[in-house]
Amino acid sequence: MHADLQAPLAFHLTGQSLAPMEAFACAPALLARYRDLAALRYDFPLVLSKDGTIHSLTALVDEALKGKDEKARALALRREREIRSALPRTWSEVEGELVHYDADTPRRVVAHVWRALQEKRAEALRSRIETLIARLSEILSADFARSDEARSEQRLRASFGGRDDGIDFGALGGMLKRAVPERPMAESRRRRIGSLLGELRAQDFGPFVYDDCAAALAGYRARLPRLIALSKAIAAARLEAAGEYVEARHDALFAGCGAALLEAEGLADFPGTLVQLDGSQHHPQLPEILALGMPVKVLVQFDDILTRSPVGRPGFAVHAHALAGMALGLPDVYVLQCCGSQLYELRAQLIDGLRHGGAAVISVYSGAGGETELAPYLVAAAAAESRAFPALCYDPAAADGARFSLAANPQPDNDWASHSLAFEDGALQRVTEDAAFTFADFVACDGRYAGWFARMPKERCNGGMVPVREYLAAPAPDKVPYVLLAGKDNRLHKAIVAEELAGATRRALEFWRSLQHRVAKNPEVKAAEKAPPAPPPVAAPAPAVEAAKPKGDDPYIETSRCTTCEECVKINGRMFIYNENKQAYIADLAAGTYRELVEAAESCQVSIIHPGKPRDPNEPGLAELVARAEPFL
Amino acid sequence: MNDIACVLRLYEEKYELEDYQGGVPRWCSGCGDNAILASVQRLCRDEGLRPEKTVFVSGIGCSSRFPHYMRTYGFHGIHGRALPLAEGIRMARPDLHVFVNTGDGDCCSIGAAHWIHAVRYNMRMSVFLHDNQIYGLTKKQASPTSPRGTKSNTTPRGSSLEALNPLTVTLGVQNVSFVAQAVDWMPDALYDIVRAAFHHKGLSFVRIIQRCPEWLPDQWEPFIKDPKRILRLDKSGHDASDLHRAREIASQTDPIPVGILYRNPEVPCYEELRASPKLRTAQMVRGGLEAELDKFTVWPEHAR
Amino acid sequence: MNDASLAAKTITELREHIVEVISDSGEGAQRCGQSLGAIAARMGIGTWTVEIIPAEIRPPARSVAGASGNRIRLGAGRVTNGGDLTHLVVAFNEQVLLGRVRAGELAPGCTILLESLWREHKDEAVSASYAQTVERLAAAGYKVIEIPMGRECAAVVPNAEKGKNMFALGMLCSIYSLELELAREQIALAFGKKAQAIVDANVKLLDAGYRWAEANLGFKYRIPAVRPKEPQVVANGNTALALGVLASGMEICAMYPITPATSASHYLSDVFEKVGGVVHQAEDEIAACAFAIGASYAGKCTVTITSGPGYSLKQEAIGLAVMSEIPLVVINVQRGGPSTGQPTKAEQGDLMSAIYGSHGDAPKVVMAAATIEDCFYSVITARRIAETFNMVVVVLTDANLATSQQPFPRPRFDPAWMAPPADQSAVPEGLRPYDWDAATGLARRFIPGQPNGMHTVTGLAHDRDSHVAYDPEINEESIHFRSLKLAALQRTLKAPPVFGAPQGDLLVIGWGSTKGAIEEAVESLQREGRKVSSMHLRFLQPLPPGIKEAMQGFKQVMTIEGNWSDRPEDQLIDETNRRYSALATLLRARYLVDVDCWSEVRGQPIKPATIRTVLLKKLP
Repeated sequence: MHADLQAPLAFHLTGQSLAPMEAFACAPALLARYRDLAALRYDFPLVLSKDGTIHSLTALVDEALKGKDEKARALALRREREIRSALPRTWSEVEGELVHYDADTPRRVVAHVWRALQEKRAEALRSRIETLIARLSEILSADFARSDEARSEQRLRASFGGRDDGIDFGALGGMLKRAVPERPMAESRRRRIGSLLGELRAQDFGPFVYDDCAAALAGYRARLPRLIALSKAIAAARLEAAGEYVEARHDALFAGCGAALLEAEGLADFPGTLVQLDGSQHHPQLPEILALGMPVKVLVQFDDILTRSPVGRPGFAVHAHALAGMALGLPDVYVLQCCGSQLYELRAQLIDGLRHGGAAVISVYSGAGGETELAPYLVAAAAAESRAFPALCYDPAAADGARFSLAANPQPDNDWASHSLAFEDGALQRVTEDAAFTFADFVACDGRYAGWFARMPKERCNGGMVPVREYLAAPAPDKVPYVLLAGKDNRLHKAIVAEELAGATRRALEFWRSLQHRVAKNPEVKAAEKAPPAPPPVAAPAPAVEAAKPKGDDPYIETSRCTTCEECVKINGRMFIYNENKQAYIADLAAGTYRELVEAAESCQVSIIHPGKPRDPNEPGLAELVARAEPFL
Repeated sequence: MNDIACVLRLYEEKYELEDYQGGVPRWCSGCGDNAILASVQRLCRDEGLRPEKTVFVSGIGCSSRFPHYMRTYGFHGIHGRALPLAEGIRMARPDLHVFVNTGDGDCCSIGAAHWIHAVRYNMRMSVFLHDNQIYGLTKKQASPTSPRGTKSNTTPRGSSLEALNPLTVTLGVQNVSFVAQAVDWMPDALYDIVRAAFHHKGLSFVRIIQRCPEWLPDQWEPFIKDPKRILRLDKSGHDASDLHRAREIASQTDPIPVGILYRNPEVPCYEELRASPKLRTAQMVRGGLEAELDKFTVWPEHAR
Repeated sequence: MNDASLAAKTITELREHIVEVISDSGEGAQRCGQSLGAIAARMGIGTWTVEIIPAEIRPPARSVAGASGNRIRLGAGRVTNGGDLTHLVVAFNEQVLLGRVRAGELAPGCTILLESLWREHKDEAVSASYAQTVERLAAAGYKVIEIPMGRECAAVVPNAEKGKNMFALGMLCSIYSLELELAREQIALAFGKKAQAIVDANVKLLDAGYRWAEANLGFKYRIPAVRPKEPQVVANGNTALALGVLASGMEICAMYPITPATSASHYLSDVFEKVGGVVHQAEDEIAACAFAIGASYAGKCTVTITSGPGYSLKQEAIGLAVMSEIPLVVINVQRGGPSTGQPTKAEQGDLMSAIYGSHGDAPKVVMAAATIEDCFYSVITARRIAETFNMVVVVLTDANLATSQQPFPRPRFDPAWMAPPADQSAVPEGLRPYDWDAATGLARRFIPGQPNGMHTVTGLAHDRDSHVAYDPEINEESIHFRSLKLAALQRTLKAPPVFGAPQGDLLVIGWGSTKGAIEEAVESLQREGRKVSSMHLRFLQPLPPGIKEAMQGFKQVMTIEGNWSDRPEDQLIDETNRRYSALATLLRARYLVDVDCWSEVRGQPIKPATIRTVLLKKLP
């Protein structure tokens, strides 16, 4: 074995013989140039506008700068930078609230979009309910107009304009009561409409926001009966308004049906629930909530995915992975997992999720938890880059094969996302190296794990040391994995990675591959073909009782051509009969004579009656009739 | 959707043809009106139209007796005014199915002004022009659609004017959105057209060429006998969205075009353009009235 | 500068005064006059404002026929009509003034404030005609005061021509001692929609006019005012009609443009949509009526608004509504007839066609509005009667009410005014579409949408099932019951009050817009101890009870009407061939009383003084 490799190897395997790195000395080389975020034009801060849409300040500025000259541009960009560093809450030039990236961002963004959607939804529901209330009230006032009370002297005077000019309202009332007796509606209906109105008027439109499952569940359970009652009321009111409520049919129906009706009435249109959870806690009731099939939206926020159990090997981000797995395992649950840094990029998915008719889980890693000197945004971005917290989206409403997606991850088809890293070597020569950003690189952001890295003085570096990516691709006893780190002085270092971390990195990669496998399994997406427009489907004409044209002798009618002209049925209403479409056919030959057949044939406007041959050879005047029948055979 | 929802959403009575049969028709036997009545009753049954939500409006003439023979609501109005009556009904009650039965005299002569403007309003209703090319009820006078030379009690030596063509006239009016032609002696085609007309969102104008066995018994014999003298538009591949082509087809009389000449579901309906988007309530009226009164009120000192 | 202004100012107290402001159309005399009326009303001076409208849209400038403006009668206490001759005129040129002089509208010695700029007009024809006219008027005893309005305005604002009307308003405020502050508010109100700059300019002109009059005019009047306790609405009859339609809860008005009814539809079109209503301008009068009938049939009662010629066209359709017993309100704003007649002028010529119009026996209710306030409430009452009795109710007003403004107490909205929603409840088994009540002929109509109510209404004679009736008994039965409904309504009417003593030498009976003038004339005679009383009819069909009894208290009875009646003095005319006025004919026929009549059809509102003279002739 090469002497120079012993020490690194020893460190790699045992953590001995090389000085482990001290915390915060270095950061992943790829992140080095992003240390000063204020100088960076990235998605944050976000602008949350009243209508619920999310904008990135950068995008807004670029939009505003279209076609402006350099001076204006420079000015605006400086202003933008100031905003980034000063962190104001609002900004006069833009409508809406400024959200800078911090531990609170995911909560604020999700809640903002959710509320906006809720308000739209509540508005729609409200106007639906108000229309029904109006219709029902009309039924009652129409009923009142028929009543004797409406024809009392005072009411009449009022309704005639309120002035006593020339009409004796007492006399009029008396006369009307006699001449047009009151006709009150059935008491049962009046009561029903009354209670429906009560039900429709007593509505709580929320919003319903919770920060633990138990409360959410209890709240929902408490509200459920009201929701069911409302859905019944809406359904029943619709029937009442259309005059289609049939007590015999519907009383029992409404008494019988329960939650099932909610769905029918579009539970999705009712006020929903938002639950905001802390990922570091355990939430045993979460599956139950998601399984309820109610439009509950759950935001689970993870601030630290690098905590490790005191004993045993480190299981990083396990809670998050378990959560996603659980949610993906439930029917009709929308799942969105991503790092906080991606919230803007994934806003469309976020809105879809919150709009989704059923439950949705939004699992976000904020990057604000660990021990690091890097900005939370950078940490989150690093997690996304390194597959430590893969972005995934599952949309139950999407077409087959388009439901599950990893598209939001960097280079989703590769094991790792790799970037070309440019630096100067000892001879001040510019070198570019293609470096993958692995889970190990991400861990290097966190001071707690500095001990897993050992800096290798340049003079001692050698071919036995390979980048983590290669090491995992082809492990060998004489190889040692390293990552590229940069010190505060922006000097580049190769740091040996301890075996324990290499293992964790391997497991992260395997998990990532299993996700990729899931995508690969998706069948090809089929383009849904559009339905042809305007022309209504013309139903096949109702089956006419039509005798298949028999051979020669038997009489028959081409019923489907019958124009209902009444001629034949007037000649003999028992022999010729109309079918369910009011078209004639021969019902009973015995009911008439051959003469009648011939006369009918002759009088038929569209000549579709064929008399065939006479059945009774003894019918008088047969010869002449046969001759007359000739043209109709 | 679950069963309950189905019960609620798809709650429909099942109707039979008999459910739509009113009085016993008093048309002559052999009259084409019978065929139209049968088709329309079939339509009502197949569409499950609730009789109380359906109104047939007519003017005066043989064809205008139609509403009496339906067991729905009906309005047998005055000569030529069926369309404005129907427009009022539609404006007041968007929830009703409105049909108009009118004749060649009722629609094309005394009611011609209303006919043209009804096409322009394009309010949702199905208009059936029973065109027998003669005044029947008043005992045989030439009508605007009588072919030149028609002998009648007012034109004993034959009518002297060219017949008016209801199709080309209708197709010439702005906002026209549905024009079709049928003949009473092809019941299946008639039914299909009537049904398409019913489904059209707007005013659907269907001219139905109709036999009058009493006054013009042989008018259509040659066409009935010879199927080649009928042009089935549904089979000829005619593009019903092509107005110019429709006008060309409309102006040909032999063979008789049968089917939908023109259809444009995009034309806006007057009742929808005019209907109030807001829910009309007593409070709304009060608010409006008070606001208006304010404009004309002189207030005593400090009354405000 | 004339001598008058040099004399010390004395404020003369007046019981009443009639003012006219006239100009070529487009010069704003209308606005000036209306503002004057409103300001006076706010102070508590009784007012009646009448529009002076040229027949053409844009008559040539400075033409005798082109007078456009307002006539405002100011009076102590309530003013009920336009009054007699004009006491003071503000004219923007001498030609429009001549128009009024020839119409005989100016009182002898009437004061004329005349724009004087024409005297120096470069066109000699103009300056000459002006000088000549002024001379003649002075000679005729009119008190002509020439005022350089244009020049004075020019001193205040750049485009003076536009502002004369507000200058005139200022002068009038000074002349009648009106509160300048109220005038300023009124201007702010009138120009409220426009820019503040415009309001300010007009206020300047107002102040200028006021100052000028204070400084240069030697006379000043005051009319006793009583501040109103209640808020008052100042609007013309057509506006009141439209507001009535709004208040009645009707949802659809179908109309076709016709003078002088159209302004009601104009205003309604503007406001109706705000409360979810629809004004449908149909292709013609017949369609408008049929459209209204269709809408009424399917839901709430509707209204169609028209005038004489349109009313004639609607007759057949109205007959259909009568026959099928569909409620309908028809408003006829009467104008001069027959045929096209006098579109912008007042007449009461349609009473007979309103009652007896349409062929066959077509009983309908006919009401006439007598005041501006009536125009508002009559629509509500008419709609209610129409829906209660399933009848056509005709409301008659006329061009006089249509264009006159008079303050009336602001109505207090009552939800009970609104039509109830269309009944959609299932019809109980056994009920029939025309279940005529044996005693009253009343039946509850079935409305489309009501289950079990299916039937076909028809203009043909029909039985209780609405089936076409060929049977003579059935035909008589249905006519009988439709007629009976009028009697039923009549039974619920009260005897109209007698204005004045219940006995005397002469009872004057009138209807419609003549009420104010008749009562004013009658009252003046009563004050002189003459035994004359009057009675005004709101219901013309059916006629209310108690009329005969009332007539029996008087030696003579006559009607005063704005429609034609043969002049007894014509040598061809005698008892056997005289054509009486409409109401007189009705009263004579119904009560077998020898009711005389006097009427005129000059297109102008009948003046109290004229009536006075007529009555004096009649009285012993």
